[in-house]
Amino acid sequence: MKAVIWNGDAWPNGVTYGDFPTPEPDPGWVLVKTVANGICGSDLHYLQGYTRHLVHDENLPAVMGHEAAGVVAKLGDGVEGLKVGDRVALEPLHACRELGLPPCLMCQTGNYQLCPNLSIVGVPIGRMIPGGYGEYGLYHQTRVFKLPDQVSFEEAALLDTLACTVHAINLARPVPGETAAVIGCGIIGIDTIQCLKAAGLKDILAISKYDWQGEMALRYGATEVIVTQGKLDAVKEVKRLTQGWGVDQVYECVGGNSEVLKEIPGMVRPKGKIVMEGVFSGSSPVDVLTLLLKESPLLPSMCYSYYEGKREFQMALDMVSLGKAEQATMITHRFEITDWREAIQTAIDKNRTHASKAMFVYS
Amino acid sequence: MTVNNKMKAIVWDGRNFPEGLTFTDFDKPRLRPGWVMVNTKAAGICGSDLHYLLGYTRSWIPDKNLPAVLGHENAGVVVEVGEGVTSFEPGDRVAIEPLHGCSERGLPPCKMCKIGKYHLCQNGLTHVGIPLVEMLPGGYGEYSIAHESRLFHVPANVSLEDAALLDILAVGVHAVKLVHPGMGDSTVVYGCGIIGLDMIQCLRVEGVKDIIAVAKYDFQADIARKLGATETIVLNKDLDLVKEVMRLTDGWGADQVYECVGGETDALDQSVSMCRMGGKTVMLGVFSGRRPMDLFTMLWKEVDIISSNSYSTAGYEREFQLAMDLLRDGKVTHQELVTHRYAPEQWLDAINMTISKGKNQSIKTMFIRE
Repeated sequence: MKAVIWNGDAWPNGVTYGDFPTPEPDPGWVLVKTVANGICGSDLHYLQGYTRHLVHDENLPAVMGHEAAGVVAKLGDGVEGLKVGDRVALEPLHACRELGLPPCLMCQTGNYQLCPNLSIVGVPIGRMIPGGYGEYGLYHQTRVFKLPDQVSFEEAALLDTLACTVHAINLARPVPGETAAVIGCGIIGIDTIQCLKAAGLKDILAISKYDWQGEMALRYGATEVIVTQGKLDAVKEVKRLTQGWGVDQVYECVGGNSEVLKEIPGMVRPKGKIVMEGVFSGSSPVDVLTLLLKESPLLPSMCYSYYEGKREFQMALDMVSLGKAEQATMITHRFEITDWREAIQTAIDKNRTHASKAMFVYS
Repeated sequence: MTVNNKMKAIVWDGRNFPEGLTFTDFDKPRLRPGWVMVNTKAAGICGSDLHYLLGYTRSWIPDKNLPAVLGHENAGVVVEVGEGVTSFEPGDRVAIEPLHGCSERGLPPCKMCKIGKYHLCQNGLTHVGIPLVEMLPGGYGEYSIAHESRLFHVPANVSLEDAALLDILAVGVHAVKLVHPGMGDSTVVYGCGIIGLDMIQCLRVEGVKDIIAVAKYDFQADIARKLGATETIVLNKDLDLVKEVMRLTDGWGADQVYECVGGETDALDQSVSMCRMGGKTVMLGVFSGRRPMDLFTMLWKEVDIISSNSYSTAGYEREFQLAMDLLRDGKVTHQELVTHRYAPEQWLDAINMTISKGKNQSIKTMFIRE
């Protein structure tokens, strides 16, 4: 099959477009022809070498892409409830049971996102399974969700992101009447805002670095926007907007090398929750004294799995099919897979291109 | 009749130990309506007292509250009650809860005081013996005043020494009320100072499966074992602490790590590493401010940081009273913990001894008044 292939070297040298072996579905697995695949910020971290140390060399060369949707192309033995031609959304997370291993403690208790054997389709850690940067991807049948007619492939490709924010909300359980601040208005921040709106919150304060992100946050449900331009004291603004009290919950959606957790404890009310959704590259300073003085918990939110017996990926799909989350308008840039070079560069330069989400769409 | 308005006290003028301390006459506190005067018989020396006296946290104390009488771990005997006090009378044996929120100080209650979480009072939480907002003289002096609601009757089978340490035990009670550890849980208590040792006892009361105590000194580990730790690890430079905890927990790590270290250490990162995937690090230690933390690992393991700060109420119960009940019912003991006793006149020796507590094998040093 044709695929965008990464050999482990830093962008742009390590990436080529060429032939790659088409994967074969084992029993219980499904081969899916990719129709849409989002380019995730974490893909760029791998391609640019920031997280190269996490990748085992035996997983290279790799076909990335964990935000995919497509059409069932071939069924492995024993797959039930699916047929060739079905339109499907794809959950990339695979753990012990799917990999044919005896379930570990985390898998036994429904926390498969914390499984030590976790393998994510299109992410070169754990076992490498080719993802949506190639014509075909491989998924266990339990990771394949039939799409309702009203949900497009492009919307479905963004369910991985939405499911991450559903998980964050499920950890912090906001209730109507509460106030929240969302720090960072990339796609995770925007999806968090949508989940908070769906949960019935009174005030949703969005804190973004750039004007264009702030405007976007307002369109998706933020009630107030604080644009910092990298200068404004966001803590002071949040306190002003909450009469000095702070917000009930803060959702951190920045990660990377940022030092936002130096400031965030200052924004939350006493005992208010701080949810950490951003993927940080390593160590970063945290104002732990303020955490203690306010007795605020700091809750990291890692991917998604089950909430009270329900699949969080399915909850995200339900939000889209019921119109509780708007995904299509978040896709700002679409590319043919053959335009991979421009696509990835557009995503890298998002501060210039204002790309909320760049996506490969296969014609 | 002459009224003596003076008392003997160890008085701190704000300068560093030892210059800043004297043993001298000091004004007795004036009783207020609704408040009670206590003659303190047992007063613990807390590590946080030393931080003030050694200047580390001097900047937290406003000059207007100096000179001050420290000491917030107190028990004694009621000598006089203010107007309207109904639950106490002279001669009663009492322990003093030092925390006073806005209601007790006659202010309209803030949002946190209204919901019983007065340890997070927004109008200036103050303590008997910690002059952060107001100078309420503590147990380093003969007499303290406290709001009636901050006094607790000490049952006959509980000594005043044991009761003076309820301020510490209540911290452990608060942590378990916040985290709800229980049967089958594996836990690490990181740090075996007195907070860690009372934490171990609270976890044992809750019936957790494993309590792995991590101590700096052998003598601490010995006491930890007596108080209920199922395993002990004594730190040394050749020991890989995280590896050792993994070995003791089938390679997974503990369900909860109770961090009782604080300071300028990387105890939080280590605690996260000692947790299993999806575990909890409970932060009881006081860190100096901003600390670097390995947020990548924290996210990947989805380990929560639960901050546990002093105590107040749990449900409809006062946590200080729950701590008293544990002592009364013999579920917890403080007898192993009071290692050194001094008369207040011996303040110089007492504090010097406490500063070198590792060398002196001290858990808790206490001033005792006859």
